[in-house]
Amino acid sequence: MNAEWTTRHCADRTLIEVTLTSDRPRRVRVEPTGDPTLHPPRTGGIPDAGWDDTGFSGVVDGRLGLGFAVTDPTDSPPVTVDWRGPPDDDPTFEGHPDVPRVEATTDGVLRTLSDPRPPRAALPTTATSGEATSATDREHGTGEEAERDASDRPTPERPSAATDGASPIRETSDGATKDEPSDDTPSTGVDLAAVERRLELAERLAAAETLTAASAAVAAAGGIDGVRALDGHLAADRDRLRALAERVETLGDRVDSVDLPVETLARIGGERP
Amino acid sequence: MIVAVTGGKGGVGKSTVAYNLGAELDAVVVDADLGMADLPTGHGPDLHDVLAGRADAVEAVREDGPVDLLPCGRSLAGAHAADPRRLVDTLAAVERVSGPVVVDCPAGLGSDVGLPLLAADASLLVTTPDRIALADAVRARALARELDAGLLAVALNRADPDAPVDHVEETFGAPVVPVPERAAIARGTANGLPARQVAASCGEPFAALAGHVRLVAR
Repeated sequence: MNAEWTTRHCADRTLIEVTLTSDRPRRVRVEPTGDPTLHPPRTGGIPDAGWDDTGFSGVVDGRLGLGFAVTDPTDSPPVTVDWRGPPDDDPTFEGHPDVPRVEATTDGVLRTLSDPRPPRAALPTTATSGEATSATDREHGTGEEAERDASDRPTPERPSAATDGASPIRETSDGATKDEPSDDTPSTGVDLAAVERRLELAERLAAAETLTAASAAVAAAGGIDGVRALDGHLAADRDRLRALAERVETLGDRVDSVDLPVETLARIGGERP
Repeated sequence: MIVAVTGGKGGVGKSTVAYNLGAELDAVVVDADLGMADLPTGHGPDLHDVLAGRADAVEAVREDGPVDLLPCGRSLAGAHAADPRRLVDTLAAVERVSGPVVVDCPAGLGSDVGLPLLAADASLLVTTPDRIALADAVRARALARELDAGLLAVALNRADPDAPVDHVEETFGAPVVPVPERAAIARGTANGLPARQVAASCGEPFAALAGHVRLVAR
């Protein structure tokens, strides 16, 4: 373990550079001697990691260079270096195994970290559940809006194989709930947008390869109960889509086979060309 | 300046620290715990409404209490309707009009912690001295580093005289301010009062934390 330093004056400050070397990881504390005002290196105005008002604490593993300034004249030697033995087993902040790499953008954060919104499975779905909607929500009409898309997440309270499983549950302004198709439910009885959202959630669950990703996906699905409910909904989706596909095929065949005699009918009806 | 108060573990005193820090800095405290708000609410629009696009961020700030506050609703439906994408712009809008902002972040490492850290100029960590809380605080610090929210200080909450202040300081590489457990602090929090209004000495740790913020804000 070794420490070397240089000092040089610059305007009213003294710049101190310290080079620390150790052939094995060692904790170290470096402070200027005397009681000068310390100016640590900063990034964006915030002292760099390891620096505080009186010095630097960190770990030297090989070679470490430090640079800082003091306003008062330095003593000799200008710094005290206190070697403090091997580092503890504290995890480091860089590349922490439980913290994913996050792109520093709104989209990056939302993509990587779990969605803070409660899953639809957790939303009130019974007539008495209006209690969960605050006065503020009712005042601003949030309850209804929040419930509007309540159909596309698993709702464990509802039987997944119910024939009406795709119907959303809406909360009326007085807190009561009722079943009715969502605005984008076509007359086919299958809310394709809701199926797509359920599929996205299922695909995210299936694609999770790390514990962090799996935990985030399960949390987004409303916990393991939500995952089970999602599985039930997807089974019902599969049946409904198959029925819809058969109906589409039958209708397509009928469309192909029908030959509408427009001209004949026009003549029969006495219409003049 | 926007300061995100994080901690990782729930129940370590983030809201208490955020509220009292807001009092010391004359800042707006934003309760960003979308799913489990615990700062006073009252009547009127809240953060859920702002994030759902139903209310203006600045108009939702309550200025009728001891600390200016943008509270968060407590209903699941409100939390579900809130669009977290709006959080960054919301915090920036409040700062632009009202000045310093202290964000009370929820526990965990979800995007409702990540987004305030993304918006923040710096972060402040709250932990208790126990091992589990410290491990979670390390994770919160790692996330703050990912998002370039430098660490101003660590509030070591419920610290008795034997609390490992030096060890925590060494671990996090930032100044540590011990916050002793005092009934007056809890009483103030329960009644929506800054600790300094309950007992002057109880406000001292928060004044010290505010000092670390001002050093950077200058």
